Amino acid sequence: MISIENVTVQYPNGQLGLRKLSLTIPGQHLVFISGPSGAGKTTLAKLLALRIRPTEGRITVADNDLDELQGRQIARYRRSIGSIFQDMPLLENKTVGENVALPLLINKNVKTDMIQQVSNTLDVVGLRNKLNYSPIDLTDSEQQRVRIARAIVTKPTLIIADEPTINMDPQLSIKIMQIFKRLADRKLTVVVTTHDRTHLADPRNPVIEMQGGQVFDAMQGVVRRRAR
Amino acid sequence: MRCRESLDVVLDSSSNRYQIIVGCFESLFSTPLKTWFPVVLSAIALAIPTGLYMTASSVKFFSFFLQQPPELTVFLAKDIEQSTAHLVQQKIAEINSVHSAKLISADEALVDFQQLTGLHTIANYLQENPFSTLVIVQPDKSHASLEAFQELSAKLYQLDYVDLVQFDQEWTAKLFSLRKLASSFGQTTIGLLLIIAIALICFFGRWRVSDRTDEIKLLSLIGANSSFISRPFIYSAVFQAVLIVLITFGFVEGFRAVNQQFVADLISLYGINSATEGVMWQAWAIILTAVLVINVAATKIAVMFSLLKLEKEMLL
Repeated sequence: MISIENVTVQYPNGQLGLRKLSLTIPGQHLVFISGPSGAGKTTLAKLLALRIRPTEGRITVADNDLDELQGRQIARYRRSIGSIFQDMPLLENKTVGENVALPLLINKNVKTDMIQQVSNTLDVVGLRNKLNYSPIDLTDSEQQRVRIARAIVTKPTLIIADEPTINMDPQLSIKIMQIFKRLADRKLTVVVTTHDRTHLADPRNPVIEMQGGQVFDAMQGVVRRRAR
Repeated sequence: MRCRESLDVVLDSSSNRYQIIVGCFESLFSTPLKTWFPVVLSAIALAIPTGLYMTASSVKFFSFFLQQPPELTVFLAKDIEQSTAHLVQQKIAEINSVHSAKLISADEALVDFQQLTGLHTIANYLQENPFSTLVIVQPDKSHASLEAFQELSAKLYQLDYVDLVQFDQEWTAKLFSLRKLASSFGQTTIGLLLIIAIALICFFGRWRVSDRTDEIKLLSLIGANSSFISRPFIYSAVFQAVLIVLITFGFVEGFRAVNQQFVADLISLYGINSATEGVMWQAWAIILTAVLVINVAATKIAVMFSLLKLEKEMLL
């Protein structure tokens, strides 16, 4: 479970990313954070991935107070989650398999386990046959799926994806979202930010609507379940 | 389309290191300008002071044109017997700061005078030989200073039968000043060129790192610690350091080979029969170690700075 209490984020240029945001994100669900551009979705995702710190307030992820983590603890926390951001590209000098294996190498996993894990994870995203390809030989959708594979290969309990289907055609977007749904079915917590409302139709998936750095059209601190 | 070795090879830790080294070799051909430019420029920067050092030390550039060191002339008492003069000469030769002492008898001095002036019959007109017995003293090289000369002169005066000790104070002072100036100029030039070489190596180390900031950022975001992030950069720095020293070796030895005959001809004019010597292997070992340490340290520091900067930017 993720708890966010009175969190404000002010960027160095004075712009407010989040204003006194408080909410609770339930674990083991696919949770969507939706809203227009500038609503604070990416800021929230970055906070959860410990890429930025709040100016005020407190964030707790599975009993970890993120504000208290320093130095090696930050690296350890980042290893424990899976992040998919636009500015986390694939390394072009490595193959698909090597890119996916990176988090395992960082975690110093046993070699035999790694090979199995990389193959299985690429199977989940449907790219097992592209194991030895260079990322530059893949389509945008395939590259995004490799990023997802890299994020989930260590079997993290929390996955944060920031606009994972941006600039993708609807069919490919649906494929990507199906992957996230399958991960949530495996009792993982998946937080996905999106401005594309077509993915929010499933009533099983909680949606947090944001606008102007605050939760919009919802009771503060409570995740709204949309029923259609 | 690029398909590489199986993942089985990649994930083995020793193979992983091997992969990084193979990657370094590959980059020499895949991105030749980016890889060769800093390596060759660093090698040139390093070859210049190394070559200069080699020239200065092996050809003794700063001293060979000043090879005639100043001497002291010791005039012995007029009535000294030859056997006693020999004893004085031996005493002088035994002084620590004396390299050699050559005895010239009064008769030898007169003959020399006759030969040098062409006045062969002059002896017939002289009632006695006007020349004194001399000892020409060549001071030790380690005592090459005006003060040392004056000190030696004082010592010589204390010996029995020594009438006069002469040396050209002004010439000696000028000579030693010139030597000091040349030596100091040479050392300063070599030192400055070395600093430039070190600065270039450090700059290119940082350049290599800043060129891959995205990779560092990515690894940091997926939880890699600094040693994991540094590793490929360190291997690359080691590889490039070896390459820099190999190319420097090529430049210096090439320079020596091309100029060997010319230098040998030049120094033979000064009566020295010696060829230029290369830089000793111990010196190359020191250069390799120094370049390795500098390159690796510069790379490691650059990675650490890059990480700190990224963390500062990311964590506000």
